[in-house]
Amino acid sequence: MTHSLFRPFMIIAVLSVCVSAAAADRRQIDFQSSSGRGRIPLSAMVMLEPTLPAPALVDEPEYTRGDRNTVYWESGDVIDAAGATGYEVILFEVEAQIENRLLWGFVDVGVDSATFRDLPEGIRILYRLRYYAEGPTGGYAVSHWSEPVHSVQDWSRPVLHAWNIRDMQHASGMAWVVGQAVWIRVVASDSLYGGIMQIAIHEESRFSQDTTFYDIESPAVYMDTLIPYPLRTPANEPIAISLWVVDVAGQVSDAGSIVRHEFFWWTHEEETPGLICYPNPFHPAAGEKSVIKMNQPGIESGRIFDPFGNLIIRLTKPAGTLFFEWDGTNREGRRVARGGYIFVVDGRQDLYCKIAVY
Amino acid sequence: MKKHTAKICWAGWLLAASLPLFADGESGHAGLFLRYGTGGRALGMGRAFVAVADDASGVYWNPAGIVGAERAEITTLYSNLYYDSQFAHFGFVLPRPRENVKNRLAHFLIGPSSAVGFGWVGLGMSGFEQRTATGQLVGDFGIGENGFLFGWARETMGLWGVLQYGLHIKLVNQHFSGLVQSAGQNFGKGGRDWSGGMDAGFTFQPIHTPILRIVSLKYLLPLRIGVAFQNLIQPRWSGPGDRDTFPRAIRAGLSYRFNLKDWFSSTWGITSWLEDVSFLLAVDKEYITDLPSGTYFGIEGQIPVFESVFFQPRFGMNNQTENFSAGAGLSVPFTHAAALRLDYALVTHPHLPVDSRFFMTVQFGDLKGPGYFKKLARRPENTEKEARNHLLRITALYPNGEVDFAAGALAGFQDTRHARRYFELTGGLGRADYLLADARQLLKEYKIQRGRKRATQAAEEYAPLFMQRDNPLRDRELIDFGEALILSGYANDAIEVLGQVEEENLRTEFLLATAKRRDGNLDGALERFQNAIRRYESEQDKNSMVSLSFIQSGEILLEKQDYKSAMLYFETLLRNHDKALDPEYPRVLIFRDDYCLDDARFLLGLTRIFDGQYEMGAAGLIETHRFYPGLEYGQVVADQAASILTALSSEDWKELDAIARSLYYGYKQAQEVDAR
Repeated sequence: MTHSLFRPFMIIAVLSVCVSAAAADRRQIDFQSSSGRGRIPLSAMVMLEPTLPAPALVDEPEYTRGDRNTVYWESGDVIDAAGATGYEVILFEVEAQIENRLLWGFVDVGVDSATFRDLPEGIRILYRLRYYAEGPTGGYAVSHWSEPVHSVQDWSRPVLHAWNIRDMQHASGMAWVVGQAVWIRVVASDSLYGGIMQIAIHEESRFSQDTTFYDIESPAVYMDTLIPYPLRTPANEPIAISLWVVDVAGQVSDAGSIVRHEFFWWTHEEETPGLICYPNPFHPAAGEKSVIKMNQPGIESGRIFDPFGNLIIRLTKPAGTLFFEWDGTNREGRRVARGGYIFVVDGRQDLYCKIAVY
Repeated sequence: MKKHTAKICWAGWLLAASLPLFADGESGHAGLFLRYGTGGRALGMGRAFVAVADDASGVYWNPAGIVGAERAEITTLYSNLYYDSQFAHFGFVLPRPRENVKNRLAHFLIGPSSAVGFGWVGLGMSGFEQRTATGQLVGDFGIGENGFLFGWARETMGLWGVLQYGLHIKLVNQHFSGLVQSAGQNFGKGGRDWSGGMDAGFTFQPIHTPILRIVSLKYLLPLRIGVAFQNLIQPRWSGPGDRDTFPRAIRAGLSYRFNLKDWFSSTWGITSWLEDVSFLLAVDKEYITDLPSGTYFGIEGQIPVFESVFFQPRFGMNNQTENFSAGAGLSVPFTHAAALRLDYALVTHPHLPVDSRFFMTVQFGDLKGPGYFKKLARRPENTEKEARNHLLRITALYPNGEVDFAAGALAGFQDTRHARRYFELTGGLGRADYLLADARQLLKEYKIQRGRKRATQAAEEYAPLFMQRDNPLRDRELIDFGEALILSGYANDAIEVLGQVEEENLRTEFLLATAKRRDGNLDGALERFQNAIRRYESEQDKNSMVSLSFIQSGEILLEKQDYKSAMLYFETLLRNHDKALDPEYPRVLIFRDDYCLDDARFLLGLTRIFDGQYEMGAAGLIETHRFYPGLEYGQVVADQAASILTALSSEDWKELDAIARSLYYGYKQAQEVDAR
């Protein structure tokens, strides 16, 4: 379906429709018919009474993004209908009613669309279509107006303020969660004239390149919600999740606000009463850190020893996390030598993890 | 001695109490498995071992110490450390491998003053989970670290002490076994790494070290100083893009063996077996590059249980890992040329489980102890210096059964300059003889108080033997004992001791006479002096006791106012002495003239005056001054010479008698001072 801009004199900012004024207008509208090009005075056009059947505009979406809108119709159907009555369609006239203002213009036959620009936001705009035809005897007729279609312009993209995965542990290297099913919190907003309609979640890994769309039952101008999401990637594999929101007008949140979270997940089966240290061995000289993961609350500190029982360093856990981190240094801040070390939870000699420095 | 014991005990407790205030732990540096320590003795003693190191673990602690091992020795250890880590050690030391080596280089390397050793130390850790950066489990792996140590040491010594020095070359290896190359993990050479290094050390045992000569050998010989330099050539682990270099360290330490018999008087009633009990105290201080220093303290007892069987309890502290350690060992001979030592060490930890370890050491081969050095000392091909050094080596191993032999030989021939120190070490009759000789010399020099003190010390050495039921003292020793008692003022005891002499000689007679006179028994004394004169007058020389017997006989008779008899003794003495005199000799002290002639002439003059022979008496007094101007009574007479001549010229015999009596009174006063 093609559409075109109006002819130059149809690009009207504000136009008051006044028949008496139009009657004094000496402008003529050019048209193309089977008998060639013609011209009809505008003043004659406005005097015509609608006698031909009304055309139909294609339904409009409730919201249209941006400040312009294109309306569509099936010109072939209209031509056929007019031809059945012996008339030849010579022009289409399309109109946009914006509160107490009208925008209108003429479109050649064979064109199935018209685009209105600089439309205001948040106003329900009515669109109508009719056509002009030439009779077998050379006289002109006009159709009734089509049933109006309407749409509201939505200038603004939705804004994705923040999103995160609940209970994600942000350890050095890569974050992680426990369990394949995660909860994602999304905070987004749109303009007062729009609403968040959909959330898109894109999962990227060696095993998956999928995007999942979640429709919002009741689009909201502001949302702060938790949505469940089952990860498709297997456990202990790097995953990158990116997320964006779509408003009622189909606009997508700014690409610049699309944040990727890279992480992996642990199966629940590995939550044995113990500790897991990874990566192991790790290379602190290259900036790596060892993450000591646990699943038990209430553990606040532990100590790293060498196999001879020398204390290397005491670690404390950041509040609200389930892991310790060790950068491979001792109490004096010096990097330890290559070899094996043991992390032991304070007061729990049975909870330990062997860490190798490479 | 009690003061010394108390001071050392206080110092030890203060050190032990201050240890928890020190910063704790060395942490995470390369090569710790080579510095941790091995050996049941060392670990039970809190790893304070650098000045000891005299067994197969010396290859590990201080390479210099291996030359101090008394036997070839193999020691092993296998221990589970924390959380399934394993630590193993094998050590072998061969002290003084070859006794007769002609080649100079071979003699230097493996001769009787050298030692070689080998050690292996291994650390194994297993049960590591290899995991990727996303926690994915790849498999299991382990880490192994090994060190192969090849040690050599040599001993050099002199009068200043025993210096042992040594070094060991080490090859070290680290291996990560079972690692799998996985996503995101690169292990370069597959986790294997070899490197080499070198340590050195020395120990020093002072003997006659100048600055320490004020300390008796008995309390100096148990001291050892040790210093070890680790990683002079530094091994290193090479990882991808970085290196871990073994840090340099210096460890210095002292060890001291307290032999209880030297610190507690035998009169305290301690049973005899405690005399073989000793305690080894060791303190080490360690400085490591860029790491906190370490302080180590340990103590080991050596308690004889049966013959050649020793029980060795141990205790140690340090400010590093364990805080406290304890242990025990039992050393048992199982053949005539081998012994087995079993050791156990218990190590505590404030945060980790208690760890206990067992060790076994086999000692075999010829014992390179005092008997060995005695054999070396008697080799006819020895130079004087070599013989002396072998004897010094025996002495340095104090206490042992050959110390008396070695010290006696050194004091008598090889090193007479330090005779006093050797006799102080051995105590008993050797020391007594030395002290008595010293007392005599001091008394001759008129250092009365010091001389008396020496004589008292000499008597204290004889006394315990005399008090024994079987009294092993022979006649000569009894006579020496008697003389020491007389010189120290115990005349009555001297009479009792001298009465035990079986075959009396001139000296016995003289000393008994002197003792009786000091005891107030003048008649008994006179009888003994006269016996001495009668029996030995023909053997008289200018300085003999016969001369002294004459003088003392004359003095007693003078005291008894038997002037005629007294004059007889004085005249006989002077006549006998005059026969040997050169008429032209200047009568000064530098000749072998002895004071008794001064006394005799002086007393003769006085006696004649008392006997009424005033002119001859006065002349005799003046002769004292003329013949012996520098001697005491020559001076006395000189002071009175004018008065004597005046009385003589004026024939004022009463005045002359008064002068004589005042001179005699002064003489008696001087004698009483001497006797005190």
